[in-house]
Amino acid sequence: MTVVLAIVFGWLCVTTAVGIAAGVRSRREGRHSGDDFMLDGRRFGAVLLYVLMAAEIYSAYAFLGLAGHAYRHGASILYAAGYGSIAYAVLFFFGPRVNRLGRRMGYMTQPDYAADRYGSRALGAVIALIGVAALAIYLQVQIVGAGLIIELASGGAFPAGWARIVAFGCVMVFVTTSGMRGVGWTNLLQACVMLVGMFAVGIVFAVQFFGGVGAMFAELAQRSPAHLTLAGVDGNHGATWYATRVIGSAIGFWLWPHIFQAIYTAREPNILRRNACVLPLYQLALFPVMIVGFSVFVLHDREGSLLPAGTQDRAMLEALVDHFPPWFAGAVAAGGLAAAVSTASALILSMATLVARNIVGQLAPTVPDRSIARVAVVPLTAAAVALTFVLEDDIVRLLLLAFSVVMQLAPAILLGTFWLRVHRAAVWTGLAVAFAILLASATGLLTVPGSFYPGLFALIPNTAIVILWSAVRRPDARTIERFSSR
Amino acid sequence: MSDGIRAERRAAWILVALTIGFMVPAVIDRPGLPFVFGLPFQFAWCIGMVLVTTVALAIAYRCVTRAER
Repeated sequence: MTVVLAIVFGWLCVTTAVGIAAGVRSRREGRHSGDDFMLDGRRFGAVLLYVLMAAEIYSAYAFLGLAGHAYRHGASILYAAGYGSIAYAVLFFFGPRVNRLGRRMGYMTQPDYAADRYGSRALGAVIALIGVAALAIYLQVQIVGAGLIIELASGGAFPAGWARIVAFGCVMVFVTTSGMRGVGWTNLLQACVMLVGMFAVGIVFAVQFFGGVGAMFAELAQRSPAHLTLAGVDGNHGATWYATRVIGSAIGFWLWPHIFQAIYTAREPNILRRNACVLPLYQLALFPVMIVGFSVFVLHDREGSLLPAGTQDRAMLEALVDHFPPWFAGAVAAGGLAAAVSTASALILSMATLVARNIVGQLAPTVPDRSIARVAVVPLTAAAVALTFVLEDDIVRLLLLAFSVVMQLAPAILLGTFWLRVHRAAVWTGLAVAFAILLASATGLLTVPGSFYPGLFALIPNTAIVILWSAVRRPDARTIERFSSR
Repeated sequence: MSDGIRAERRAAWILVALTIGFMVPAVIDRPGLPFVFGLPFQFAWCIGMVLVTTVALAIAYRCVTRAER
Protein backbone atom coordinates (compact mmCIF):
# COMPACT_ATOMS: atom_id res chain seq x y z
CA MET A 1 0.00 0.00 0.00
CA THR A 2 2.90 2.34 0.79
CA VAL A 3 4.22 2.14 -2.78
CA VAL A 4 0.78 2.86 -4.30
CA LEU A 5 0.19 5.77 -1.94
CA ALA A 6 3.71 7.15 -2.56
CA ILE A 7 3.11 7.16 -6.33
CA VAL A 8 -0.30 8.84 -5.95
CA PHE A 9 0.92 11.55 -3.56
CA GLY A 10 4.14 11.98 -5.56
CA TRP A 11 2.01 12.71 -8.60
CA LEU A 12 -0.11 15.19 -6.65
CA CYS A 13 3.06 17.02 -5.55
CA VAL A 14 4.41 17.14 -9.13
CA THR A 15 1.08 18.53 -10.37
CA THR A 16 1.00 21.21 -7.69
CA ALA A 17 4.62 22.20 -8.35
CA VAL A 18 4.03 22.50 -12.13
CA GLY A 19 0.86 24.51 -11.52
CA ILE A 20 2.65 26.96 -9.21
CA ALA A 21 5.70 27.22 -11.51
CA ALA A 22 3.42 28.14 -14.44
CA GLY A 23 2.01 31.02 -12.39
CA VAL A 24 5.46 32.22 -11.28
CA ARG A 25 6.64 32.27 -14.90
CA SER A 26 3.52 34.15 -15.96
CA ARG A 27 4.21 36.80 -13.30
CA ARG A 28 7.84 37.15 -14.42
CA GLU A 29 6.57 37.81 -17.92
CA GLY A 30 4.50 40.68 -16.50
CA ARG A 31 1.11 39.08 -17.17
CA HIS A 32 -1.16 40.49 -14.49
CA SER A 33 -4.47 41.25 -16.19
CA GLY A 34 -7.81 39.51 -15.64
CA ASP A 35 -7.53 38.19 -19.20
CA ASP A 36 -4.22 36.53 -18.27
CA PHE A 37 -5.55 34.99 -15.05
CA MET A 38 -8.84 33.71 -16.49
CA LEU A 39 -7.91 32.93 -20.12
CA ASP A 40 -4.08 33.01 -20.17
CA GLY A 41 -4.26 35.97 -22.53
CA ARG A 42 -6.21 33.95 -25.19
CA ARG A 43 -2.91 32.48 -26.41
CA PHE A 44 -3.46 28.71 -26.33
CA GLY A 45 -2.25 26.93 -29.45
CA ALA A 46 -3.53 23.62 -30.83
CA VAL A 47 -1.61 21.29 -28.47
CA LEU A 48 -2.23 23.14 -25.21
CA LEU A 49 -5.89 23.66 -26.09
CA TYR A 50 -6.26 19.98 -26.98
CA VAL A 51 -4.90 18.79 -23.64
CA LEU A 52 -6.81 21.52 -21.76
CA MET A 53 -10.08 20.36 -23.30
CA ALA A 54 -9.27 16.65 -23.02
CA ALA A 55 -8.29 16.94 -19.37
CA GLU A 56 -11.34 19.10 -18.59
CA ILE A 57 -13.73 16.76 -20.38
CA TYR A 58 -12.38 13.39 -19.19
CA SER A 59 -12.79 13.51 -15.45
CA ALA A 60 -13.12 11.14 -12.50
CA TYR A 61 -16.31 10.07 -14.22
CA ALA A 62 -14.30 8.71 -17.18
CA PHE A 63 -12.14 6.70 -14.81
CA LEU A 64 -14.43 5.48 -12.04
CA GLY A 65 -17.95 6.25 -13.22
CA LEU A 66 -17.71 4.48 -16.58
CA ALA A 67 -16.29 1.29 -15.07
CA GLY A 68 -18.82 1.47 -12.24
CA HIS A 69 -21.78 1.94 -14.60
CA ALA A 70 -20.62 -0.92 -16.88
CA TYR A 71 -20.22 -3.13 -13.79
CA ARG A 72 -23.66 -2.36 -12.39
CA HIS A 73 -25.89 -1.65 -15.41
CA GLY A 74 -24.16 -2.97 -18.54
CA ALA A 75 -24.17 -1.89 -22.19
CA SER A 76 -26.06 1.40 -21.68
CA ILE A 77 -22.68 2.92 -20.77
CA LEU A 78 -22.08 3.17 -24.53
CA TYR A 79 -24.06 6.42 -24.35
CA ALA A 80 -20.78 8.05 -23.23
CA ALA A 81 -19.11 7.21 -26.54
CA GLY A 82 -22.08 8.60 -28.45
CA TYR A 83 -22.67 11.94 -26.82
CA GLY A 84 -19.00 12.92 -26.72
CA SER A 85 -18.47 12.26 -30.42
CA ILE A 86 -21.59 14.20 -31.45
CA ALA A 87 -20.52 17.05 -29.16
CA TYR A 88 -17.16 17.36 -30.95
CA ALA A 89 -19.04 17.81 -34.21
CA VAL A 90 -21.02 20.60 -32.51
CA LEU A 91 -17.69 22.23 -31.51
CA PHE A 92 -16.68 22.32 -35.18
CA PHE A 93 -19.50 24.77 -35.93
CA PHE A 94 -20.09 26.43 -32.57
CA GLY A 95 -16.49 26.92 -31.34
CA PRO A 96 -15.14 29.28 -34.02
CA ARG A 97 -18.15 31.63 -33.72
CA VAL A 98 -17.91 31.79 -29.94
CA ASN A 99 -14.15 32.36 -30.06
CA ARG A 100 -14.46 35.10 -32.70
CA LEU A 101 -17.18 36.92 -30.77
CA GLY A 102 -15.24 36.61 -27.51
CA ARG A 103 -12.12 38.10 -29.03
CA ARG A 104 -14.04 40.93 -30.72
CA MET A 105 -16.26 41.84 -27.77
CA GLY A 106 -13.88 40.96 -24.90
CA TYR A 107 -16.03 38.23 -23.36
CA MET A 108 -14.43 35.97 -20.78
CA THR A 109 -17.40 33.92 -19.66
CA GLN A 110 -20.64 32.48 -20.99
CA PRO A 111 -22.78 35.02 -19.04
CA ASP A 112 -20.67 37.87 -20.51
CA TYR A 113 -21.85 36.71 -23.91
CA ALA A 114 -25.46 36.14 -22.83
CA ALA A 115 -25.70 39.54 -21.10
CA ASP A 116 -24.46 41.34 -24.21
CA ARG A 117 -26.34 39.19 -26.73
CA TYR A 118 -29.68 39.75 -24.98
CA GLY A 119 -28.93 43.21 -23.56
CA SER A 120 -29.64 42.10 -19.99
CA ARG A 121 -27.14 42.00 -17.15
CA ALA A 122 -29.78 40.34 -14.98
CA LEU A 123 -30.00 37.46 -17.47
CA GLY A 124 -26.19 37.25 -17.40
CA ALA A 125 -26.23 37.02 -13.59
CA VAL A 126 -28.93 34.32 -13.63
CA ILE A 127 -27.00 32.30 -16.21
CA ALA A 128 -23.90 32.70 -14.02
CA LEU A 129 -25.84 31.35 -11.02
CA ILE A 130 -27.10 28.40 -13.08
CA GLY A 131 -23.51 27.78 -14.19
CA VAL A 132 -22.16 27.91 -10.64
CA ALA A 133 -24.88 25.48 -9.47
CA ALA A 134 -24.11 22.99 -12.26
CA LEU A 135 -20.36 23.30 -11.72
CA ALA A 136 -20.81 22.76 -7.97
CA ILE A 137 -22.58 19.44 -8.64
CA TYR A 138 -19.96 18.41 -11.20
CA LEU A 139 -17.20 19.34 -8.76
CA GLN A 140 -18.73 16.87 -6.30
CA VAL A 141 -17.99 14.12 -8.84
CA GLN A 142 -14.32 15.06 -8.90
CA ILE A 143 -13.92 15.50 -5.16
CA VAL A 144 -15.68 12.23 -4.32
CA GLY A 145 -13.66 10.50 -7.07
CA ALA A 146 -10.30 11.85 -5.84
CA GLY A 147 -11.09 10.87 -2.24
CA LEU A 148 -12.13 7.38 -3.32
CA ILE A 149 -8.96 6.88 -5.37
CA ILE A 150 -6.64 7.83 -2.51
CA GLU A 151 -8.62 5.82 0.04
CA LEU A 152 -8.61 2.69 -2.11
CA ALA A 153 -4.96 3.16 -3.11
CA SER A 154 -4.05 3.23 0.58
CA GLY A 155 -6.14 0.12 1.28
CA GLY A 156 -8.42 2.19 3.51
CA ALA A 157 -5.54 3.49 5.67
CA PHE A 158 -6.03 7.05 4.39
CA PRO A 159 -9.73 7.92 4.86
CA ALA A 160 -11.56 9.45 1.88
CA GLY A 161 -12.52 12.55 3.89
CA TRP A 162 -8.90 13.50 4.61
CA ALA A 163 -7.90 12.57 1.08
CA ARG A 164 -10.43 15.07 -0.32
CA ILE A 165 -9.09 17.82 1.93
CA VAL A 166 -5.43 17.19 1.03
CA ALA A 167 -6.02 16.81 -2.74
CA PHE A 168 -8.20 19.89 -3.02
CA GLY A 169 -5.94 21.92 -0.77
CA CYS A 170 -3.26 21.39 -3.45
CA VAL A 171 -5.67 22.28 -6.28
CA MET A 172 -6.71 25.44 -4.44
CA VAL A 173 -3.06 26.52 -4.09
CA PHE A 174 -2.13 26.23 -7.76
CA VAL A 175 -5.41 27.66 -9.10
CA THR A 176 -5.09 30.71 -6.82
CA THR A 177 -1.45 31.21 -7.76
CA SER A 178 -1.60 30.59 -11.48
CA GLY A 179 -5.14 30.78 -12.87
CA MET A 180 -5.67 29.44 -16.40
CA ARG A 181 -1.92 29.16 -17.08
CA GLY A 182 -1.58 26.73 -14.16
CA VAL A 183 -4.67 24.79 -15.22
CA GLY A 184 -3.36 24.50 -18.80
CA TRP A 185 0.12 23.27 -17.88
CA THR A 186 -1.03 20.81 -15.22
CA ASN A 187 -3.61 19.50 -17.71
CA LEU A 188 -0.80 18.80 -20.17
CA LEU A 189 0.66 16.38 -17.61
CA GLN A 190 -2.70 15.02 -16.55
CA ALA A 191 -3.95 14.28 -20.08
CA CYS A 192 -0.87 12.13 -20.84
CA VAL A 193 -1.04 10.18 -17.55
CA MET A 194 -4.79 9.67 -17.91
CA LEU A 195 -4.48 8.36 -21.44
CA VAL A 196 -1.74 5.86 -20.52
CA GLY A 197 -3.67 4.79 -17.41
CA MET A 198 -6.97 4.27 -19.27
CA PHE A 199 -5.49 2.17 -22.09
CA ALA A 200 -3.13 0.17 -19.85
CA VAL A 201 -5.78 -0.81 -17.36
CA GLY A 202 -8.28 -1.89 -20.05
CA ILE A 203 -5.91 -4.20 -21.85
CA VAL A 204 -4.13 -5.63 -18.79
CA PHE A 205 -7.31 -6.60 -16.93
CA ALA A 206 -8.85 -8.59 -19.76
CA VAL A 207 -5.56 -10.30 -20.69
CA GLN A 208 -4.59 -11.15 -17.08
CA PHE A 209 -7.87 -12.79 -16.09
CA PHE A 210 -9.44 -14.01 -19.34
CA GLY A 211 -6.65 -14.25 -21.90
CA GLY A 212 -8.18 -11.46 -24.00
CA VAL A 213 -11.11 -9.09 -24.47
CA GLY A 214 -13.08 -11.51 -26.68
CA ALA A 215 -12.85 -14.31 -24.12
CA MET A 216 -14.00 -11.94 -21.37
CA PHE A 217 -17.07 -10.89 -23.36
CA ALA A 218 -17.83 -14.54 -24.21
CA GLU A 219 -17.82 -15.42 -20.51
CA LEU A 220 -19.92 -12.34 -19.71
CA ALA A 221 -22.48 -13.40 -22.35
CA GLN A 222 -22.80 -16.73 -20.51
CA ARG A 223 -22.85 -15.41 -16.95
CA SER A 224 -24.97 -12.29 -17.40
CA PRO A 225 -26.34 -11.75 -20.93
CA ALA A 226 -28.36 -8.78 -19.62
CA HIS A 227 -25.05 -6.88 -19.33
CA LEU A 228 -24.76 -6.94 -23.12
CA THR A 229 -28.20 -5.55 -23.98
CA LEU A 230 -29.53 -2.07 -23.43
CA ALA A 231 -32.24 -2.70 -20.92
CA GLY A 232 -29.36 -3.75 -18.70
CA VAL A 233 -29.29 -5.74 -15.50
CA ASP A 234 -32.11 -3.85 -13.79
CA GLY A 235 -34.17 -3.39 -16.98
CA ASN A 236 -34.28 0.40 -16.56
CA HIS A 237 -31.55 1.35 -19.02
CA GLY A 238 -33.27 0.66 -22.33
CA ALA A 239 -33.38 2.39 -25.69
CA THR A 240 -35.16 5.51 -24.32
CA TRP A 241 -32.61 5.89 -21.53
CA TYR A 242 -29.75 5.55 -24.02
CA ALA A 243 -31.16 7.75 -26.80
CA THR A 244 -32.27 10.61 -24.54
CA ARG A 245 -28.93 10.65 -22.66
CA VAL A 246 -26.94 10.69 -25.92
CA ILE A 247 -28.96 13.58 -27.36
CA GLY A 248 -29.34 15.51 -24.10
CA SER A 249 -25.70 15.26 -23.05
CA ALA A 250 -24.47 16.16 -26.56
CA ILE A 251 -26.60 19.33 -26.43
CA GLY A 252 -25.42 20.21 -22.93
CA PHE A 253 -21.74 19.49 -23.56
CA TRP A 254 -20.51 22.92 -24.71
CA LEU A 255 -22.80 24.75 -22.32
CA TRP A 256 -20.61 23.86 -19.36
CA PRO A 257 -19.16 27.21 -18.32
CA HIS A 258 -15.61 25.83 -17.93
CA ILE A 259 -15.59 24.24 -21.39
CA PHE A 260 -17.15 27.38 -22.89
CA GLN A 261 -14.39 29.41 -21.21
CA ALA A 262 -11.77 27.08 -22.75
CA ILE A 263 -13.10 28.06 -26.20
CA TYR A 264 -12.09 31.66 -25.46
CA THR A 265 -8.50 30.64 -24.69
CA ALA A 266 -7.83 29.57 -28.32
CA ARG A 267 -5.40 31.78 -30.22
CA GLU A 268 -7.54 31.67 -33.36
CA PRO A 269 -10.87 30.09 -34.41
CA ASN A 270 -9.44 27.50 -36.80
CA ILE A 271 -7.58 25.85 -33.91
CA LEU A 272 -10.99 24.88 -32.54
CA ARG A 273 -12.01 23.30 -35.83
CA ARG A 274 -8.78 21.30 -35.95
CA ASN A 275 -9.28 20.19 -32.35
CA ALA A 276 -12.85 19.15 -33.13
CA CYS A 277 -11.40 16.74 -35.71
CA VAL A 278 -8.91 15.08 -33.35
CA LEU A 279 -10.75 15.22 -29.99
CA PRO A 280 -12.99 12.24 -30.90
CA LEU A 281 -9.87 10.04 -30.89
CA TYR A 282 -9.66 10.58 -27.12
CA GLN A 283 -13.07 8.88 -26.95
CA LEU A 284 -11.34 5.61 -27.82
CA ALA A 285 -9.78 5.66 -24.34
CA LEU A 286 -13.26 5.25 -22.83
CA PHE A 287 -13.69 1.74 -24.23
CA PRO A 288 -10.85 0.11 -22.23
CA VAL A 289 -12.33 1.56 -19.02
CA MET A 290 -15.77 0.17 -19.90
CA ILE A 291 -14.12 -3.20 -20.59
CA VAL A 292 -12.56 -3.08 -17.12
CA GLY A 293 -16.02 -2.60 -15.59
CA PHE A 294 -17.27 -5.73 -17.37
CA SER A 295 -14.07 -7.69 -16.56
CA VAL A 296 -14.33 -6.93 -12.84
CA PHE A 297 -18.00 -7.90 -12.88
CA VAL A 298 -17.19 -11.32 -14.40
CA LEU A 299 -14.30 -11.74 -11.95
CA HIS A 300 -16.51 -10.94 -8.95
CA ASP A 301 -19.29 -13.14 -10.31
CA ARG A 302 -16.81 -16.05 -10.57
CA GLU A 303 -15.64 -15.45 -7.01
CA GLY A 304 -19.19 -14.84 -5.72
CA SER A 305 -18.12 -11.47 -4.34
CA LEU A 306 -20.28 -8.97 -6.26
CA LEU A 307 -20.26 -5.44 -4.86
CA PRO A 308 -23.54 -4.18 -3.39
CA ALA A 309 -25.50 -1.52 -5.32
CA GLY A 310 -24.21 2.01 -4.76
CA THR A 311 -20.57 0.96 -4.35
CA GLN A 312 -19.89 0.10 -7.99
CA ASP A 313 -17.57 3.10 -8.49
CA ARG A 314 -15.03 1.29 -6.30
CA ALA A 315 -15.00 -1.78 -8.55
CA MET A 316 -12.05 -0.96 -10.79
CA LEU A 317 -9.67 0.38 -8.17
CA GLU A 318 -10.39 -2.32 -5.59
CA ALA A 319 -9.67 -5.03 -8.15
CA LEU A 320 -6.57 -3.16 -9.26
CA VAL A 321 -5.11 -2.91 -5.76
CA ASP A 322 -6.04 -6.54 -4.93
CA HIS A 323 -4.71 -8.23 -8.06
CA PHE A 324 -1.85 -6.17 -9.53
CA PRO A 325 1.68 -5.15 -8.45
CA PRO A 326 1.79 -1.94 -6.38
CA TRP A 327 3.67 0.08 -9.01
CA PHE A 328 1.00 -0.67 -11.63
CA ALA A 329 -1.89 0.00 -9.27
CA GLY A 330 -0.16 3.25 -8.21
CA ALA A 331 0.35 4.39 -11.81
CA VAL A 332 -3.30 3.77 -12.74
CA ALA A 333 -4.53 5.38 -9.50
CA ALA A 334 -2.34 8.41 -10.33
CA GLY A 335 -4.06 8.49 -13.75
CA GLY A 336 -7.45 8.50 -12.01
CA LEU A 337 -6.36 11.24 -9.63
CA ALA A 338 -5.02 13.21 -12.60
CA ALA A 339 -8.43 12.96 -14.26
CA ALA A 340 -10.21 14.23 -11.15
CA VAL A 341 -7.75 17.01 -10.33
CA SER A 342 -7.43 18.35 -13.88
CA THR A 343 -11.17 18.71 -14.34
CA ALA A 344 -11.63 20.05 -10.82
CA SER A 345 -9.03 22.80 -11.29
CA ALA A 346 -10.84 24.06 -14.39
CA LEU A 347 -14.20 23.87 -12.61
CA ILE A 348 -12.94 25.86 -9.64
CA LEU A 349 -11.35 28.51 -11.89
CA SER A 350 -14.55 28.78 -13.91
CA MET A 351 -16.72 29.13 -10.79
CA ALA A 352 -14.40 31.84 -9.45
CA THR A 353 -14.49 33.63 -12.83
CA LEU A 354 -18.29 33.55 -12.94
CA VAL A 355 -18.51 34.90 -9.41
CA ALA A 356 -15.92 37.61 -10.14
CA ARG A 357 -17.23 38.76 -13.52
CA ASN A 358 -20.96 38.20 -13.39
CA ILE A 359 -22.12 38.10 -9.78
CA VAL A 360 -19.87 39.97 -7.28
CA GLY A 361 -18.26 42.00 -10.08
CA GLN A 362 -21.67 43.49 -10.93
CA LEU A 363 -22.04 44.70 -7.35
CA ALA A 364 -18.46 45.98 -6.98
CA PRO A 365 -17.40 47.16 -10.46
CA THR A 366 -14.34 49.05 -9.20
CA VAL A 367 -12.60 45.97 -7.77
CA PRO A 368 -10.51 44.14 -10.43
CA ASP A 369 -11.99 40.81 -11.59
CA ARG A 370 -8.67 39.08 -11.09
CA SER A 371 -8.58 39.98 -7.38
CA ILE A 372 -12.16 38.82 -6.78
CA ALA A 373 -11.53 35.57 -8.71
CA ARG A 374 -8.39 34.79 -6.69
CA VAL A 375 -10.13 35.37 -3.40
CA ALA A 376 -13.22 33.43 -4.53
CA VAL A 377 -11.19 30.27 -5.27
CA VAL A 378 -10.65 29.60 -1.55
CA PRO A 379 -14.24 29.70 -0.19
CA LEU A 380 -15.65 28.01 -3.32
CA THR A 381 -13.22 25.07 -3.01
CA ALA A 382 -13.76 24.80 0.75
CA ALA A 383 -17.56 24.87 0.34
CA ALA A 384 -17.44 22.23 -2.41
CA VAL A 385 -15.31 19.88 -0.30
CA ALA A 386 -17.58 20.46 2.72
CA LEU A 387 -20.63 19.65 0.58
CA THR A 388 -19.25 16.19 -0.29
CA PHE A 389 -19.55 15.21 3.37
CA VAL A 390 -23.30 15.88 3.18
CA LEU A 391 -24.20 14.91 -0.41
CA GLU A 392 -23.00 11.50 -1.61
CA ASP A 393 -24.27 9.77 -4.70
CA ASP A 394 -22.89 7.60 -7.46
CA ILE A 395 -20.78 9.37 -10.05
CA VAL A 396 -22.85 8.88 -13.21
CA ARG A 397 -26.05 9.99 -11.43
CA LEU A 398 -24.37 13.19 -10.20
CA LEU A 399 -23.02 13.93 -13.66
CA LEU A 400 -26.41 13.44 -15.33
CA LEU A 401 -28.02 15.70 -12.71
CA ALA A 402 -25.53 18.50 -13.45
CA PHE A 403 -26.07 18.01 -17.20
CA SER A 404 -29.84 18.45 -16.69
CA VAL A 405 -29.20 21.88 -15.17
CA VAL A 406 -26.67 23.20 -17.66
CA MET A 407 -28.56 21.83 -20.69
CA GLN A 408 -31.35 24.36 -20.13
CA LEU A 409 -29.04 27.09 -21.44
CA ALA A 410 -29.13 25.55 -24.95
CA PRO A 411 -31.85 27.81 -26.42
CA ALA A 412 -30.15 30.97 -25.10
CA ILE A 413 -26.55 30.09 -25.90
CA LEU A 414 -26.47 27.42 -28.61
CA LEU A 415 -29.58 28.37 -30.59
CA GLY A 416 -29.08 32.08 -29.92
CA THR A 417 -25.62 31.97 -31.51
CA PHE A 418 -26.90 30.64 -34.84
CA TRP A 419 -30.41 32.15 -34.91
CA LEU A 420 -30.29 35.85 -34.15
CA ARG A 421 -34.06 36.17 -33.75
CA VAL A 422 -33.90 34.47 -30.34
CA HIS A 423 -35.36 37.04 -27.98
CA ARG A 424 -34.63 37.90 -24.34
CA ALA A 425 -38.22 37.54 -23.10
CA ALA A 426 -38.48 34.12 -24.76
CA VAL A 427 -35.25 33.00 -23.05
CA TRP A 428 -36.48 34.14 -19.62
CA THR A 429 -39.79 32.32 -20.07
CA GLY A 430 -38.17 29.16 -21.41
CA LEU A 431 -35.73 29.03 -18.49
CA ALA A 432 -38.51 29.58 -15.94
CA VAL A 433 -40.61 26.75 -17.41
CA ALA A 434 -37.61 24.39 -17.66
CA PHE A 435 -36.53 24.89 -14.06
CA ALA A 436 -40.11 24.55 -12.83
CA ILE A 437 -40.25 21.16 -14.61
CA LEU A 438 -36.87 20.07 -13.22
CA LEU A 439 -37.90 21.07 -9.71
CA ALA A 440 -41.25 19.32 -10.01
CA SER A 441 -39.61 16.12 -11.26
CA ALA A 442 -36.94 16.26 -8.54
CA THR A 443 -39.55 16.65 -5.80
CA GLY A 444 -41.85 13.97 -7.23
CA LEU A 445 -44.67 16.38 -8.21
CA LEU A 446 -44.17 15.44 -11.85
CA THR A 447 -43.25 12.02 -13.18
CA VAL A 448 -40.99 11.93 -16.22
CA PRO A 449 -42.30 9.16 -18.54
CA GLY A 450 -40.31 5.92 -18.56
CA SER A 451 -36.58 6.37 -18.40
CA PHE A 452 -36.66 9.65 -20.37
CA TYR A 453 -33.82 12.00 -19.38
CA PRO A 454 -35.38 14.67 -17.09
CA GLY A 455 -33.01 17.33 -18.47
CA LEU A 456 -34.12 16.68 -22.04
CA PHE A 457 -37.75 16.43 -20.90
CA ALA A 458 -37.49 20.00 -19.54
CA LEU A 459 -35.48 21.20 -22.54
CA ILE A 460 -38.25 20.33 -25.05
CA PRO A 461 -40.83 22.89 -23.79
CA ASN A 462 -37.99 25.33 -23.07
CA THR A 463 -36.84 25.19 -26.71
CA ALA A 464 -40.40 25.19 -28.09
CA ILE A 465 -41.24 28.36 -26.16
CA VAL A 466 -38.06 30.10 -27.33
CA ILE A 467 -38.57 29.14 -30.98
CA LEU A 468 -42.29 30.02 -31.16
CA TRP A 469 -41.99 33.26 -29.20
CA SER A 470 -38.94 34.45 -31.14
CA ALA A 471 -40.45 33.48 -34.51
CA VAL A 472 -43.51 35.70 -34.06
CA ARG A 473 -41.58 38.72 -32.81
CA ARG A 474 -39.92 41.23 -35.06
CA PRO A 475 -36.12 40.61 -35.08
CA ASP A 476 -34.03 43.03 -33.03
CA ALA A 477 -32.06 45.21 -35.47
CA ARG A 478 -29.28 45.91 -32.94
CA THR A 479 -28.67 42.21 -32.35
CA ILE A 480 -28.63 41.40 -36.06
CA GLU A 481 -26.17 44.20 -36.71
CA ARG A 482 -23.78 43.35 -33.86
CA PHE A 483 -23.75 39.57 -34.07
CA SER A 484 -24.38 38.66 -37.70
CA SER A 485 -20.88 39.34 -39.08
CA ARG A 486 -18.68 36.24 -38.90
CA MET B 1 -24.03 34.22 -48.33
CA SER B 2 -20.29 33.52 -48.49
CA ASP B 3 -18.81 30.23 -49.76
CA GLY B 4 -17.51 29.50 -46.27
CA ILE B 5 -20.97 29.71 -44.70
CA ARG B 6 -22.46 27.61 -47.48
CA ALA B 7 -19.79 24.93 -47.02
CA GLU B 8 -20.33 25.01 -43.26
CA ARG B 9 -24.09 24.54 -43.71
CA ARG B 10 -23.52 21.54 -45.96
CA ALA B 11 -21.08 20.10 -43.42
CA ALA B 12 -23.69 20.48 -40.67
CA TRP B 13 -25.39 17.33 -42.05
CA ILE B 14 -22.59 15.49 -40.26
CA LEU B 15 -24.42 16.21 -37.01
CA VAL B 16 -27.57 14.52 -38.27
CA ALA B 17 -25.63 11.54 -39.65
CA LEU B 18 -23.67 11.05 -36.41
CA THR B 19 -26.80 11.27 -34.26
CA ILE B 20 -28.51 8.62 -36.39
CA GLY B 21 -25.33 6.50 -36.38
CA PHE B 22 -25.06 6.50 -32.60
CA MET B 23 -28.74 5.52 -32.30
CA VAL B 24 -28.08 2.24 -34.12
CA PRO B 25 -27.11 0.31 -30.93
CA ALA B 26 -30.46 1.31 -29.41
CA VAL B 27 -32.49 0.37 -32.48
CA ILE B 28 -30.99 -3.05 -33.22
CA ASP B 29 -30.45 -4.02 -29.58
CA ARG B 30 -31.39 -7.62 -28.77
CA PRO B 31 -29.79 -10.57 -26.91
CA GLY B 32 -27.31 -12.68 -28.83
CA LEU B 33 -25.99 -10.05 -31.23
CA PRO B 34 -22.93 -11.27 -33.17
CA PHE B 35 -19.39 -10.59 -31.98
CA VAL B 36 -17.17 -8.49 -34.25
CA PHE B 37 -13.40 -8.70 -33.64
CA GLY B 38 -14.22 -10.37 -30.33
CA LEU B 39 -16.39 -7.43 -29.26
CA PRO B 40 -20.17 -7.40 -28.95
CA PHE B 41 -21.67 -5.72 -32.01
CA GLN B 42 -22.72 -2.50 -30.23
CA PHE B 43 -19.15 -1.94 -28.96
CA ALA B 44 -17.59 -2.51 -32.36
CA TRP B 45 -20.21 -0.23 -33.93
CA CYS B 46 -19.55 2.61 -31.47
CA ILE B 47 -15.76 2.33 -31.88
CA GLY B 48 -16.30 2.52 -35.65
CA MET B 49 -18.56 5.56 -35.24
CA VAL B 50 -15.90 7.38 -33.20
CA LEU B 51 -13.42 6.84 -36.03
CA VAL B 52 -16.03 7.93 -38.60
CA THR B 53 -16.53 11.15 -36.59
CA THR B 54 -12.87 12.03 -36.88
CA VAL B 55 -12.69 11.28 -40.60
CA ALA B 56 -15.94 13.15 -41.38
CA LEU B 57 -14.85 16.23 -39.44
CA ALA B 58 -11.43 16.18 -41.10
CA ILE B 59 -13.11 16.18 -44.53
CA ALA B 60 -15.45 18.98 -43.41
CA TYR B 61 -12.44 20.97 -42.16
CA ARG B 62 -10.79 20.70 -45.54
CA CYS B 63 -13.93 21.74 -47.41
CA VAL B 64 -14.81 24.66 -45.11
CA THR B 65 -11.31 26.13 -44.91
CA ARG B 66 -10.88 25.80 -48.68
CA ALA B 67 -14.23 27.54 -49.27
CA GLU B 68 -13.28 30.32 -46.83
CA ARG B 69 -10.03 30.97 -48.71
